[in-house]
Amino acid sequence: MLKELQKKCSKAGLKMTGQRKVILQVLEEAQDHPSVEAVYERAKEIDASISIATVYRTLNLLDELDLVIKHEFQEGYARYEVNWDHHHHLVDLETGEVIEFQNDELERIKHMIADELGYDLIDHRLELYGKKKKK
Amino acid sequence: MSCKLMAVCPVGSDVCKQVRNAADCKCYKAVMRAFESMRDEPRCVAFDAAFRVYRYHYPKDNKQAAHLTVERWLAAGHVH
Repeated sequence: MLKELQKKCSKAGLKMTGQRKVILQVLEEAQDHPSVEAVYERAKEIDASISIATVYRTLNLLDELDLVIKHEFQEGYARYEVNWDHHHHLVDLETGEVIEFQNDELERIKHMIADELGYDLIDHRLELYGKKKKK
Repeated sequence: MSCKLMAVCPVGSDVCKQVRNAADCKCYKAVMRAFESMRDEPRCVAFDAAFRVYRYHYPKDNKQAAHLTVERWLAAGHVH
């Protein structure tokens, strides 16, 4: 997954320096949506020479290139996540075929549910299982 | 829907070898296909998909035996 992300960056014209690789690694490994400060703290553990300015610059660049998603939750600061190709799966139980799908309505509904329960949605998984309708 | 091989390949026997040799075993192919198609996802998610496909084909197998069989099929298939 990290290699895929690095490839995306290179393709977008972003030079892959060691420090940028570390920041990408932190984002790729994150199970949450880290803030700039959180990315900085985690990156520092891997490479102590990284400055917060580098983290800011890199995240801004990644944001401009649409490689990360910047979330503005109601906290006064931004959180970041890698902009993976977001999709869900429908698994055909009879054949094992896995169909990837995206659905805007579903995206809207899941945020609405979290919001109604008083939460900012951070992450979720959804797999549907079914069998093909007979024609 | 059910695979006759299972009747002669109880869990604990040489299931993998015999099933791998069975080109017409739809359930085995479906299980492996689901797992391989989900290989970009965390292993537990890919396994869950394969497991659910298996359970669809063998609803009467108890969970533990089904789990073991799927793990054996995956190991024998050298996936992951």
